[in-house]
Amino acid sequence: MSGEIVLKVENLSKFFPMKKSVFSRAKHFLHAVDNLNFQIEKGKVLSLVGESGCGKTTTGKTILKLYEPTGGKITFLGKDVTHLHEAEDKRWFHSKTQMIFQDPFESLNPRKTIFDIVAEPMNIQNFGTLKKRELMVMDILKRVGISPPDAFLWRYPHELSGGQRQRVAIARALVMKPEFVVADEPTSMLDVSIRTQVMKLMMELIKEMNMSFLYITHDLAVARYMADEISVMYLGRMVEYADSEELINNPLHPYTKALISAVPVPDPEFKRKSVEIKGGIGKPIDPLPRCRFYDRCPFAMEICNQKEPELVDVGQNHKVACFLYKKDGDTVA
Amino acid sequence: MTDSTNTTVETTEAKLESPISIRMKLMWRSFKENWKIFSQSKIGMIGLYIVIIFAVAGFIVYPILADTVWKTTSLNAMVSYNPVTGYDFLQNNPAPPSWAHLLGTDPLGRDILAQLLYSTPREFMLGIVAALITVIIGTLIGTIAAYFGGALDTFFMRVADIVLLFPFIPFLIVISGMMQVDLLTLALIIGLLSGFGGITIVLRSQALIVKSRPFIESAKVSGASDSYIIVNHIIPNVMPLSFLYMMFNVTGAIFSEAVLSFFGLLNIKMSWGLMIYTADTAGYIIGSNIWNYWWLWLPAGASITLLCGAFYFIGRGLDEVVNPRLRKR
Repeated sequence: MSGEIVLKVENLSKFFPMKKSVFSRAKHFLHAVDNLNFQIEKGKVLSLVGESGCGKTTTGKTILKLYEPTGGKITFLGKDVTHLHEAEDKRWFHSKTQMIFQDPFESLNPRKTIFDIVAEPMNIQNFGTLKKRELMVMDILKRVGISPPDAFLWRYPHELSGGQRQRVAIARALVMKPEFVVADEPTSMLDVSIRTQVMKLMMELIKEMNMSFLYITHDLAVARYMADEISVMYLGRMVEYADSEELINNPLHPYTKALISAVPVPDPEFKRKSVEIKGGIGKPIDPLPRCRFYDRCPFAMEICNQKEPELVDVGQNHKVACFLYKKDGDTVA
Repeated sequence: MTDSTNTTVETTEAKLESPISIRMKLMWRSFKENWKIFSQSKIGMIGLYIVIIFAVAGFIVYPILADTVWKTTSLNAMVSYNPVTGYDFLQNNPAPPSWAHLLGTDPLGRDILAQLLYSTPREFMLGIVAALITVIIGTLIGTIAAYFGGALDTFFMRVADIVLLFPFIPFLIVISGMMQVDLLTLALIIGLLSGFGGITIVLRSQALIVKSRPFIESAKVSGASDSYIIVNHIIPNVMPLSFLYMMFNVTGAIFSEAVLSFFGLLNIKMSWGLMIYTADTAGYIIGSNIWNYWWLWLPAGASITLLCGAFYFIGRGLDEVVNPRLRKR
């Protein structure tokens, strides 16, 4: 627990109102992100893992102000950035944060050249002269492995391959040397052969530039490779949070156990206790005050239907939101 | 490692071309690519040829002829004769085509060919000004409505519905009864009215598609303002469609002008519609007479049809550039 805390998220919530028309008042809310707490230290990678629709991406986008948070507090570099009103604050925040998107075919404007795309954050922030921007673009393109950069500078995204496009997207995100980057499944649209290259590249750049990453993924193997800490989300709630090795080796929450047992192991002899869960993921619209995993949990108890479990520390920075566990690792059931 | 990077950056810096010349080259390249697709569409090329013929006739041939053959004091020493406004006393008017008047004269003794050529640049001006205003308004309103959504979007879309249902020509007739409408005012009125109409709906739907794409969010994360996103991301992506609609709007504007001048409602010196109006009011386009005096209405009518059609054909050709689905493989 040493090191500077870059990002701290306290009780973050994002509810989407379900309106029928512009003028009607919303009666139902979709609880995309509900009461999230975590913090990221400088140079560390936190991975958010979960099924599709569990609010991982919404969390990332809410932190980066693409959505206004419904409740909670976001502290970035010691400054409260939950609601940014002043233009100066916005500029400061947006110049220090960036996002890498999932689909490299959609996250680059097809009508802009690679130079325009990579230099755009600097254009928006009015950073440096044109000459300086050009040099910085060339430098970062070289660092993400697009070389020679001047051969690519004036090409359009459709002239590049998927891997090259994602490298350009990474270059664009890192050109201003941000403190904090949200990476929203940056490798899931790529070829398996390119995926590892891009992941290695990101690891190198994170170490080199000492950035903090929020790495969103649905793949526990990727999360384990990339992240220092993993937090598992289920329907907008954080169900487990631990250092990545600890989480993979010692999963506590039934959902995490099920997730890990679903990861294929390249060993035909391997036998693992599988955790059976029932049904599919529910809808987080006006959820009842009970454990969100209640319907699918093989260990569901009476208390799970009555109140929501809190995230409890079971030691070694391992937190889990389940009534099966109490403080200091005692097992209840 | 970093040293070598720096030196290579500096060497490549030396051979960098200036960004402006590169951008010009890129534009030229994309123009060439689009031209290749456009030139493969026959209908578009026919339209382009017709427009070029009219443009040459109106902007080059007419000034030359006006300076030489149709010089106000030439033709005959007896009277000064202006082919667009004057009366030719040497024959009974309307006179059929002859060597003196290649397309004959109208009931007021004016040369038909001269009137036709004199009107051509004005038709172009009207069509293009009206279409430009339409497209500028339509693009701005469409993208703004799509981007901000909500009540603003609803408001502009209902306005567009009303404008679409509006009886366009009757409205123009009422307007021209209320005020003196010359060519520029007409272009402004047509541009404003159709700018809030159907084109907004089309461009809004296109902008909605662009708006939902991740590069918009990517710009937002970098701190881009709403106006930056609209100007730099959404408008360039709907621009081809606006350009296409501009071509269709030229047709509409020229057509509306012809209708209004045919009713004699415009305060203009000469236009194709007005030529037909003149023939009509003098009673030459009635019943069986109509083919006896064909030179009074056929050249003007054919010109309106051809030029309107030509711009529409160009639009069809551009459609194939803009919508790859329409291309023949």
